[in-house]
Amino acid sequence: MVNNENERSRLAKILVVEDDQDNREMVVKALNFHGYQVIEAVDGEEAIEKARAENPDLILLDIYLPKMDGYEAARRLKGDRDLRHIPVIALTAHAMKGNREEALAAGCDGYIPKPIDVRELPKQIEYFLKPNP
Amino acid sequence: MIVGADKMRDILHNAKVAIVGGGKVCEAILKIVLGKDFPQKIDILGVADTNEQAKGLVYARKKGIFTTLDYNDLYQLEGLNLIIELTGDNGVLNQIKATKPVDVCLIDHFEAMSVWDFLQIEEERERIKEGLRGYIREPEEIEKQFDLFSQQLAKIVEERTRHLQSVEREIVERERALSQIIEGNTIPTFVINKDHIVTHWNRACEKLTGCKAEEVVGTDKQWCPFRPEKRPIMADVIVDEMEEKEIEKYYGHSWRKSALIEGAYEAEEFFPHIGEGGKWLFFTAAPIRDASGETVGSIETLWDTTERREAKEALQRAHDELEQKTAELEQANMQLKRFDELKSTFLANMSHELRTPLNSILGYTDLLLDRVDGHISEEQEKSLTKIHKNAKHLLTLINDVLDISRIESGRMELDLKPVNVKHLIGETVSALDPLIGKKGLVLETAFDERLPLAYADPDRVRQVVTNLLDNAIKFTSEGRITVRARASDLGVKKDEPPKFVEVCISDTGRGIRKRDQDRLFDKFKSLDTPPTGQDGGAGLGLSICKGLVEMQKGDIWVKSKYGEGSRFCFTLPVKAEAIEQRGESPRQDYETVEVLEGERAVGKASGIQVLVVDDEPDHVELISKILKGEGYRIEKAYDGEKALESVKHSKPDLIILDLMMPNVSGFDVIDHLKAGEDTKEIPIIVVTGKDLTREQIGSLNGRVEKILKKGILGGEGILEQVRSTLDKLDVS
Repeated sequence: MVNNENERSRLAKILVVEDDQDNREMVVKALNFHGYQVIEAVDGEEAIEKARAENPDLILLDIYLPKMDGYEAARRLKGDRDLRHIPVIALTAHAMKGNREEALAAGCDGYIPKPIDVRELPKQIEYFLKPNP
Repeated sequence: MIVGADKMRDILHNAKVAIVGGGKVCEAILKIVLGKDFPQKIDILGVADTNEQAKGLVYARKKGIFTTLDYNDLYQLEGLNLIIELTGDNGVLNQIKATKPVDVCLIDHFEAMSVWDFLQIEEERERIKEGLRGYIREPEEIEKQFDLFSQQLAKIVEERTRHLQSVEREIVERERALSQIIEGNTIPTFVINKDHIVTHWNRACEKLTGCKAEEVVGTDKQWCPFRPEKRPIMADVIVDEMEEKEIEKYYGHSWRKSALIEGAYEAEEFFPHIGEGGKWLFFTAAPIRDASGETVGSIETLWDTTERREAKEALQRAHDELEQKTAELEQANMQLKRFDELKSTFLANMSHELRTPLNSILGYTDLLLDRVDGHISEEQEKSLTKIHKNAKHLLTLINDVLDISRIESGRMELDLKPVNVKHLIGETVSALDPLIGKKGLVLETAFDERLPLAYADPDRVRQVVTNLLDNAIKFTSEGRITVRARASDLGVKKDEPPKFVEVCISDTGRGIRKRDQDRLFDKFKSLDTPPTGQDGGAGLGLSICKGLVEMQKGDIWVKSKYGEGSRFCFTLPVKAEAIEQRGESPRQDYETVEVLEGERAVGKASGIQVLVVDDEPDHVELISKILKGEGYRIEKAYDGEKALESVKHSKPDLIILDLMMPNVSGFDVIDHLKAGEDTKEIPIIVVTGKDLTREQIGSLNGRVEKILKKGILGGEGILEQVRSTLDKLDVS
């Protein structure tokens, strides 16, 4: 349990993109508990909209998504001048080896293999959060 | 019938003769017999020949003798008592034998030679006798002398005749032998003479054509069994010495010159009228030539190729069928491939679908256990822990089933690379530390000092080690677990580098019965000794291990004594190049990489020097590659000691440092650097493969710029971290 994070992290805004409601709410719950501010999106298109509107500090992006999958969403996020600075962490399926490579190739800054360990998640996120200026 | 001169005189005396065959011999006989001084009384009643221009026939006609083109007409001649046959044709002879009136005597072409001789002698004798009469005074005496002389002459002639006859007999014998050779041959054969008359037609030919010899021999009806109407067949073609164009008229392009017999032609055709439902025949006709090379007949042989043809056709049919089957199979195969792809996709989707709800179950249980939703009672905590444990178990089962199906379908992808086995085991062991501690077991590791790098997929090796260690912990209630890695001497001759790394995990657990050991690596086995408690699982773990090890070209085996513990060992191959890369000696532990020339080097980072320290060559290479591409100057060190040397040698702008290294660890390196006046300002980014304790994090606090976790960072991620660190420090 990482409870001794500094103020910066507590205020960090995380965009969680996940189509499975239960899983999404679980992640949101865990992140809220650790003091993060969380916004949600259920597909790739909404992810880009929310990223533009809310300017999050980090995006957790599931790969299997309806409408626009995670790879495409990552490509668009990283291809957008206003959004490319936001770290994008792919949530990849453990079973499919290619997922990792494809996610990184699409421009993701890192990946967290599924299933998500809600206890580990805050620590993993911290590695990618940018320091405040 | 071979006869002497006296006998001949008897036969010819008062003979009324008909001659069959009007050639030169016939002409000569006529000339002698019709000569005005010929002493014998011989009447020539008629001559027959199929050729109207035959010399004897023409002469007879001129002399007012009856002539005919059909010898049967001769039978009508009045007083006929002798037929002389001069055709030299056995067929004709046989015909005459069969058809002549009973009281008519027959002299065949052989015996006719005697007639010819006799007539000549008779004529000569009379002529000399007549001639002498005019000159000699004592005619009686001389006549006596002459008679004596002529008797001697007759004797000589008789001897000569006898000799000739024996020669003739030999010819007859040869002819008979030839007939028997043809007759005795099992190959259907017939022979025609230069006049296209059939002279031989053997039994095999009768059997094949259904046409009897007596029906065709002596006639020119050889076409009869083969063709619906009269036309030249191959033997006739040979006798007529046809031009190729003319042959084509009859045989199209199906004929060819025989490769075996000079001057012979052959062809293969279907004959619908032969046999039941027709037959395929392959026939060869060869010329029969006399001493001067002139064609005087032809011999034709026939092969019934129907069966061969049918076999060939059946073969062709089978071949066609096979081709069709192959095409069908190929199509089925393609469909199978499509199904396989579908299955693969299904598997991927299924795996996602199964994990997603499990993920929820595990996650929410964690959240509840972490009191995210407020206080829970002790009983509730127990229940939640059970839910969590079982969900975890289910996740393992799903993963195992998916792994097995991937291994079996050959879809398990391996990412083979040089692997530091010692490092990998260290990581795995420390992850299982809490479990071991909980059971009060002792865990030992032992490694060869110079352990070569294995060539394998690190994730899969980790999976195997974890599985074997899990089992060892599970089945050992007290004592120790030992993990040992060494260079295997398997298949290695003296002074050769090792070919395998061998890893053995031994425990002091309850061991495995001999009869169970063989089945240990089978899928879904059930041991005679059932596992106790909840440690059963689906029994897939070991068969997955076996599959994974074998896919990496290694081997796995077990040694165990029931009640005393088990030892599981597996090998991983060593790649020759992999050893050389990090050669035994001289070992190059750090190097300075030249600034890249050209465009790439003119990045904003050019000139900034980064020292990368890690005992995992893979990580060093990965980070170096990424940073080099951006124009950073890279130095590498593979352990803490060398890192410190390198810093002394050339001070870097930034150090990327692994914490877990043998001998001098990352922590030691930081301590050293921070203690040195020159070196304490060098910024450090720490990279670690395992989670740090709170104490460890605390000890690093304020001394390093960043702590990064291995395995979750992409290349861009690392680059970004390096950049932001340097930006912050205003190094660039």
